[in-house]
Amino acid sequence: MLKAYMVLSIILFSIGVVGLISRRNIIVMYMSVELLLNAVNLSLIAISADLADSSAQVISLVIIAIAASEAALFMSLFVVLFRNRASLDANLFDMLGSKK
Amino acid sequence: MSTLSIIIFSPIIAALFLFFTRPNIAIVKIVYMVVTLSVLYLAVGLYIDFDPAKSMQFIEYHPWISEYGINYHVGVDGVSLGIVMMNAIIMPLVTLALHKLRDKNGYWINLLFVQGGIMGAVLSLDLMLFYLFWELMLLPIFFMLGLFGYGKKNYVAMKFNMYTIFGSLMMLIAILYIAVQYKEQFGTYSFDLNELKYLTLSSSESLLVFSGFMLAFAIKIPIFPFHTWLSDTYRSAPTGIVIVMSALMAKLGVYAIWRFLFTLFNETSHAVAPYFIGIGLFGLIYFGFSAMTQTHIKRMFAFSSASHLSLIVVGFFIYDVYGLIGSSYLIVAHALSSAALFLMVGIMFERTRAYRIDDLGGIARVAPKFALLFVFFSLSIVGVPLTAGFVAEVLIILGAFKYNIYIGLLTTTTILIAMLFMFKTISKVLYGELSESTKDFKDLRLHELVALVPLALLILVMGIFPNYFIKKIEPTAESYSQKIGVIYND
Repeated sequence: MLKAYMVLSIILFSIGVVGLISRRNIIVMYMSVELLLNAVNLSLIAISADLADSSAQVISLVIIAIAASEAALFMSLFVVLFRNRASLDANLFDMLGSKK
Repeated sequence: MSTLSIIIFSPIIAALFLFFTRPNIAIVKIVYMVVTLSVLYLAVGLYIDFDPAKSMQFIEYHPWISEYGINYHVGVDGVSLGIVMMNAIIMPLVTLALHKLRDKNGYWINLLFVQGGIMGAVLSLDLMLFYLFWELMLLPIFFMLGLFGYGKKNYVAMKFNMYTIFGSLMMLIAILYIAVQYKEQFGTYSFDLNELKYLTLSSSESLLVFSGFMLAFAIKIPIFPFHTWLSDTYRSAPTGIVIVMSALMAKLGVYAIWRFLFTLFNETSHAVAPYFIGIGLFGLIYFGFSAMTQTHIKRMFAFSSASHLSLIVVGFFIYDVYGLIGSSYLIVAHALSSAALFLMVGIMFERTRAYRIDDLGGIARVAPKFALLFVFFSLSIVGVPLTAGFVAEVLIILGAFKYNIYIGLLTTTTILIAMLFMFKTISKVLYGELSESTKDFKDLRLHELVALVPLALLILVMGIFPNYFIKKIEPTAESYSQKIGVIYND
């Protein structure tokens, strides 16, 4: 049973990585990051159930709560970014990476 | 709350307070001065109360996340005492010299954060606590580079951050791994240094975990292959951050090698020591020659400081009492003189707006006090007798000769190389013809003298009466040499 959960988790993680690399829209990138987080969360819960140790399930609830507050923060950042450049294309926001 | 907790948390609490209340810049500077001076007062009290007969002292232990073995555990010993003192001395002096130049709240608030982070990382004896403070001191530096830096500062800030966070993550993985191993062997989680040292790992496991830790420390110091962030970051960073990085943060990396790696993986560290001595000696010479060829004065001092940090790494890895005492003495001596030199470079830039060595010259003719102090601090870096640098370098060289005669000879070249790059810089910057940018050079003002003269006096006192300072390190070195004896007898 654990194997199936782990495979699902790996599939979700891979989709997240591909989405993060290939898409340039900030909202889609954020969704991919959430997918990564939830893939790891799923594997955490699965392993925790397999080991009959409930502490990881408690921690995953904490992670979900933090992810929710993170989402609220991200949404407000999207609004600010959109007001600045009238676009959510990640290529426009490269200040920290450009060699200028 | 005991002294150590107050020393760690008063800068952090003051910084948080200033961040949320957003007061006038004058009030920020006053609060900064009051907090750093009271930390200095407490640190001097700590130094006087420090019992030279015992190793670890002022231990404080409070349960924190006890289910997972994470506790608030701090203490100070002979080696960390030096870094605590340097942090406490340098921070108020930086403000004294720079308070007329920087009028942004963020500058001083971030410096307070860095001070608290460094104090916490030096004093903590719990790996999780150490990791927390290690990360805490990184973030303010990222903001200061981006907000107050020069040149392509955003790119440099990001590069520095990626580099150090990569190292820190490897360290986090290593920390978690040894905690899990501890649970398998002893039944409970623990992140406490005193408990984790009883852990037994197979040699390949402990080599991997060692590398995880070493990567974080090597990037922070930096030792040879991980130095590519160094010159750009030093060139772009504002003076306050350059001083913090070269005088305190880099030293913290070397200190952490000794504190954590030599305690947790004593045998592995001993087994890989020859490689690190090699890397250290190579770095010593390579960075020295790089410093000679630089045209930008801040990059030149960046490589000079990397060269001496490689020497400190050699001093710790030769596994000898002399090496240990010499290295911890050089940590203090080099922190004092490099902080003073970077401060003077900052002052020089403010007056001439020139960083290229070729654009400077003849300063000794128009600013004798500036030239005198500049030469004095350079001599201390070189290691001329009567300065603190001499005592430290001689001790390291003695230890290196005990280790191996060829290693000893190579270590001796440090004085020669440092002399070459320092004297070249001095002759070009202070002597020769006056140039366009230096002809109106104003001599040091009172507030700058007040900041620099105490550092110079301390270097002199440390060079003439080293016994008083070394006796605080001795018990730590002795308890450590017993540990070395155990290994040599195996």
